[in-house]
Amino acid sequence: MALLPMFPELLKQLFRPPATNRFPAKYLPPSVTGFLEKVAAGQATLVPPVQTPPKFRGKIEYQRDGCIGCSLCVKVCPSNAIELLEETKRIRIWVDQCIFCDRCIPPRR
Amino acid sequence: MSEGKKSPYIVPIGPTHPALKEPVMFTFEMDGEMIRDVDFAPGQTHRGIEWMGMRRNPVQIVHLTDRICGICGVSHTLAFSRAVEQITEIEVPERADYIRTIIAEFERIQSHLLWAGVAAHELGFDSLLHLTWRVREQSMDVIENLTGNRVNYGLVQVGGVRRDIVPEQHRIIEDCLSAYEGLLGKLLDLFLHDKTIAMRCRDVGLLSKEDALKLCTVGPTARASGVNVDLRQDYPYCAYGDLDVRAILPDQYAGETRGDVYDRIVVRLLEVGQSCGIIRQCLSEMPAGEITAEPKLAKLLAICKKARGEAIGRVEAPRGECFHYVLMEGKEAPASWKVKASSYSNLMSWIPMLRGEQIADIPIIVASIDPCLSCTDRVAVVRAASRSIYSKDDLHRLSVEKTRRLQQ
Repeated sequence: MALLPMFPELLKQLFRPPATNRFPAKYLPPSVTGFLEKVAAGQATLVPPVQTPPKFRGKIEYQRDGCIGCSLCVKVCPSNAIELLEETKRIRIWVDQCIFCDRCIPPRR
Repeated sequence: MSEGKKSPYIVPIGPTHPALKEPVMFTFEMDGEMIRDVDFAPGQTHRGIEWMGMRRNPVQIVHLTDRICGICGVSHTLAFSRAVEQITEIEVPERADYIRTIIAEFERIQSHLLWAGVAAHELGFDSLLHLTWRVREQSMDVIENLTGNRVNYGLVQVGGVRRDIVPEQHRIIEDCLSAYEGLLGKLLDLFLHDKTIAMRCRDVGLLSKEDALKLCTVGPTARASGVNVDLRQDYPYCAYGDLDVRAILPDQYAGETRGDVYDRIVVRLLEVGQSCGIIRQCLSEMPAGEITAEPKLAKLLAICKKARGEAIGRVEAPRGECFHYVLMEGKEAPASWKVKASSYSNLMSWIPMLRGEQIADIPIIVASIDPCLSCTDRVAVVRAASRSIYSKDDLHRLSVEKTRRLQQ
């Protein structure tokens, strides 16, 4: 056994819970929409989603009212996902191009 | 058929192959099971990153450098930022240097554990792969907590860092470090006292100290051959000057240096422990203060735009020295930017390592230098002298000729 140190570790693993995150349903439902309808009706339960870390960088939202059209966010966006609309001095965000780096948030603060 | 024609037998492996994690083309000259000679051709993952960088300003480029490599995002960003900081003469606050060091060391921990798992997988030891990667997940969780992302951290920026480490996070880091220090003995036991691993890795893929020096290998690959190089010790940057970092050599563990795959496992696993120590020291000695030299982005952009000059940034990435050269000529975008990743220096060592080994050892030897081809591929050779390219006309002509031949 001394030459197979992994063996006791594997035996212990048999009695441990899985380390991976759980799938939202216990088994893959035949129809996802059907399953979600059941969840909405309270007939089935969803495994809660994994928590996001604090200050998680998600999809950006544009607050039109606070914007002064300085276009600094356009200049610092690494993926050129923000476009300045010249006539209205407002921006348009191309979310498909966004890399969620959060770089455009600090200039506004 | 004469004997001379049968041997050597040419075995091509790649560019994409299940045993290789990234595309690279190998051509093996085989003599039975033994590798007589080997040649390789990288260049299949060229993405034109430098070209993209030369159309962007340094504030944008740090997010591009994050994406040169999925594993060593901090190293590339740090090397680039350090080059730009030298040109613009920005002085990085001390606290930012410590935060940079902490995240760089976490990156080393997760990279080495990832590598150890891949090495186990290449040996066919998949249960050990899963165990190592489960252990690695803890460091990924801490990185996620510190930066907001598992990969592409976006933490380092020109002039400092973007996020501070707050007191609540000290506890999370401390938990992770003590867990690792407890686990390290077990990992060393599982990897180094296993009969299978010893049989497959001892005296396999040998790289002598002379060859390692001659081929300019860097990082753990060089250290495993007994070359005492570590940028953190030789040219300290960030907070490493305040810390006592000594290069880890395999003879510290086994009492001898053989320069084989086993020694590379030893060096990388011991470095995980060393990184834990460095992070702990950084946390206790971290001074208070600002985390960035220039918090206003508009001002930072103006400073970068005015800057003229050239500089190099060097960082000890998990795989070895990562080198960035930047030339700025008073424009928003750098006039020139050159990236030399650590794998670029290490790839050449494949040839002496693979010569004389068996075909079954190819995956573990190739993986043993921890190659990162997405870091390395800066140039794509489109027209190689030995390759002939058939144009549409050529193919059409060949097709017509074949039809004629069949009609006869």
